[in-house]
Amino acid sequence: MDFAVIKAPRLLLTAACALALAACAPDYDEKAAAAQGEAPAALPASQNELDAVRSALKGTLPDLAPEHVRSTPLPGIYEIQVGMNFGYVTRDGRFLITGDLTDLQTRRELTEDRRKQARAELVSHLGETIEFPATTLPAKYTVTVFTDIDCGYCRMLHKQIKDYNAEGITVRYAFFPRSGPETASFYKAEEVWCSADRKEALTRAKAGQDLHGNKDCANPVMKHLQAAADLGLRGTPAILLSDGEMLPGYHPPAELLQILAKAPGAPAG
Amino acid sequence: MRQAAGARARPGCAAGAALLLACLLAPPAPAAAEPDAELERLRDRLAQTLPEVKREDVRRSDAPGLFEVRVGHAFGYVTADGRYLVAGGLTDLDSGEAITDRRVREERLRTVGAFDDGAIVFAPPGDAVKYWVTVFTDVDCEYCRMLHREVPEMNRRGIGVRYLFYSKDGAPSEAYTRAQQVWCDDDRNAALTRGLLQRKVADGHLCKNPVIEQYLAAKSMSLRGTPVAILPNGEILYGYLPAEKLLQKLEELERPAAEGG
Repeated sequence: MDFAVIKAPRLLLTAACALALAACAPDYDEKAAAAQGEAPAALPASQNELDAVRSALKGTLPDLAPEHVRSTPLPGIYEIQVGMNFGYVTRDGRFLITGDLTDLQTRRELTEDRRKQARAELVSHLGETIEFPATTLPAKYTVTVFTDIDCGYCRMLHKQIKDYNAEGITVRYAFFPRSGPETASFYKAEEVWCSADRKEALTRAKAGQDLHGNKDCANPVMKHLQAAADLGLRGTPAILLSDGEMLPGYHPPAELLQILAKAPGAPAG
Repeated sequence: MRQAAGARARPGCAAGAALLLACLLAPPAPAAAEPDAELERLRDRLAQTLPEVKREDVRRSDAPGLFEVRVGHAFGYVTADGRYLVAGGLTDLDSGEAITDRRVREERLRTVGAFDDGAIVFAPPGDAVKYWVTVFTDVDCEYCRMLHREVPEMNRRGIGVRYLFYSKDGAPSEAYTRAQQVWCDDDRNAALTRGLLQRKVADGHLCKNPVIEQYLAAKSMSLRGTPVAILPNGEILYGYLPAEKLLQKLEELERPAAEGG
């Protein structure tokens, strides 16, 4: 077994401010993902115990929601969550460590596991998306892709949508107009949503065509944009796997299929 | 770290002259307490699972139950059983102290301190130095030239400069060769000044020199360019500041401040 897993550059120092929990999704490491053992369970913690920690943090981290203080597999260490950011505190609430938690025995990236859970949870509440189903059935995988109509790599991805679908991958598109609300990209997304045939409208919009459509219907574009912000997405396309793994950027169909096949415990559909 | 000189009288040694003599001659209490069995067990364990961490770089941290591990200038914290590692920054929420930042700064000072003998020093006479800064420089760097022109003024204001080399292109490169030539010159200070200000290449002879080690030290601190100064508290300061502004900055650092590194 290879013990030299934690390479020196991964022992990264975070920035100074006590309250800044900078989350940075690491590049997807296929090998590491494949090599992981079972996740250790969080230690059982009574409400009293958790309440004591919450109390201890009231002064220094007043905006921390009570449900975002949880036990971990480490005795005397508790996880705190702010958005997609995670940190670890001691029981007395005195010490905070910001950074990624690794189980050196199973080699699991525990903080990344939690981020994945948090992302999957968020995506599950996304509501309706524009779905291009797998054409090779049964569908092997479903991914949610945050897309911007005006993004070059998103257009490249969509040009090959038939190929993704043929690989057995169902693609659910959510909108992430990077220029923000009330901008041209945002309006285009709304126009697509308000079209009678959304899939066709999306394809035409991504081909650069002007839809001349109505954008005044009830639509989830703002909701999707908010989800993208909550997920801490920095660009498009952003591909979310069903287990919450996040792949930033464009991946051609065969490559995406390989990644999906190797992702640990990524269920189909 | 200063050691207490000589023996200290120990409490409870008043009974009789012979005993008193023995007490006065007794060595001072050892600096360390009893061996830390928990720490040693952890070190044994981490020798297997984190072999790149040197044994002595596993230490107790300020947080009970968490142990600091260090590789170069990167820090992490492990549990006593050595199973879990958090790679990141430790903060004392009560005092607001950014503990890991402080450790990083301490390590930088240790790293550059090891090069004291190999530094090219521009400083006023001994007791006129109020602050020392270590500056990584490169013979091919424009802002390094500007900084060097400022050095006499810095010296006048009590700032001593210890120059180390950080040729951004590493080795081999023309800058690296010239840095070595400067270092090997009989008059390093003059050679550096000529090299920086007159852009004159020093005479060609090479010698055994620490330029590559200085470069590796800068790289290990992830320094991104030159000139870059390491201030007396271990903070990094990129670029060039006029002498007066630098002095202000150094004076500010001395005042007890709420902010961390």
